[in-house]
Amino acid sequence: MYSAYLFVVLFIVLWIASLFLLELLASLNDVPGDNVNVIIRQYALGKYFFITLFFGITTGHLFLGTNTRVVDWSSLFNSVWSNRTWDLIFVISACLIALLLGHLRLFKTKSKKFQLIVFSIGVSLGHFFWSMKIFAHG
Amino acid sequence: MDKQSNTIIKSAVINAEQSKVVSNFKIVTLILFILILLFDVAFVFWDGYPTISHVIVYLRPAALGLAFLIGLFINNVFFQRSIKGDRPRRNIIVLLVATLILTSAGIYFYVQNLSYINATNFQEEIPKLQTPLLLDVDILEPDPTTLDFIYEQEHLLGDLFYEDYINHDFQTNMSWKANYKVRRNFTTPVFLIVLILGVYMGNRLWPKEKKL
Repeated sequence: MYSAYLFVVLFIVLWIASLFLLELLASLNDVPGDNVNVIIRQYALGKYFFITLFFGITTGHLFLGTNTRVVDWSSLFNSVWSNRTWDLIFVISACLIALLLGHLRLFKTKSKKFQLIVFSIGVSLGHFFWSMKIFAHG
Repeated sequence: MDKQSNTIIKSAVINAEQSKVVSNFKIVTLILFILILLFDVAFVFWDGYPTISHVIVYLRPAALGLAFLIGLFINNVFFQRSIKGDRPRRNIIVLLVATLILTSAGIYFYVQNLSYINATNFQEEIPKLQTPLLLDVDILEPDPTTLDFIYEQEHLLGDLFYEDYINHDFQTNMSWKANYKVRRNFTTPVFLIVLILGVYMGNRLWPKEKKL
């Protein structure tokens, strides 16, 4: 079981490394538009700015994370679902709201300032509401 | 650049864009990207196997270089500026060296800072390993979820301690189990600074080239 676990760890690490390598190769050639970042950018700077929010949330989730719980969802909603499930529901809802707002075209999404604000909001959500540093009962 | 050279570059770009190799390259990259997300979702529901989040958390502080690379990627996607002409060749060397230094520093910490601490001297040993704002201590074994399981199954922990455990303050109150495997890790502000450094260096050193 433990070796299978290590195999999956190695698999994920190699997979991420191969993605970075492909992206690097695509960056070094002179052909425009063959990078994943260009494809993602085309969507994120348009009405799908929820992608920017999602990247921010993932960044906050992976590299930051508070030790103390900000909202005790289970008590708040008197729910049998764990706080971790509620965390996930919260961040998915935030992305869905961003997707909806994008479709309403209320913002100038191509502006770098706008993208920075959305990204920062995402990082805060990932840090405070989807932290990995809070244990099972947290 | 004269008019003739511009035309040659333009037609070369158009040819390349229509090339099957480029289109296959894009498809392979996107498939890899989507598959890893699908695998990750599958592993969430598959007990005993790690997700990307778990792997990165387990690999910290070795993930310091990865934080920098993700910073570069974030800049490339959302905040990349444009310049006329070519990027200086030395820029890529600077970025590669920075990535290598940060990755090596992370791996060095990952390998060097593994310790076993007896619970009876927990209160003395933990503060020695910590440096405010720079280094923190992660408990690797027993897994916090295992502790929780043991509590639920055997009621080994007193109510007072359990309250502390819920409040994530158990490191200093632990006194019921013999050995803990701990690792020194960088604190979250360090990861944040490295990530911001990645975004900043990407913005300065890896702008988009406007050739046409």
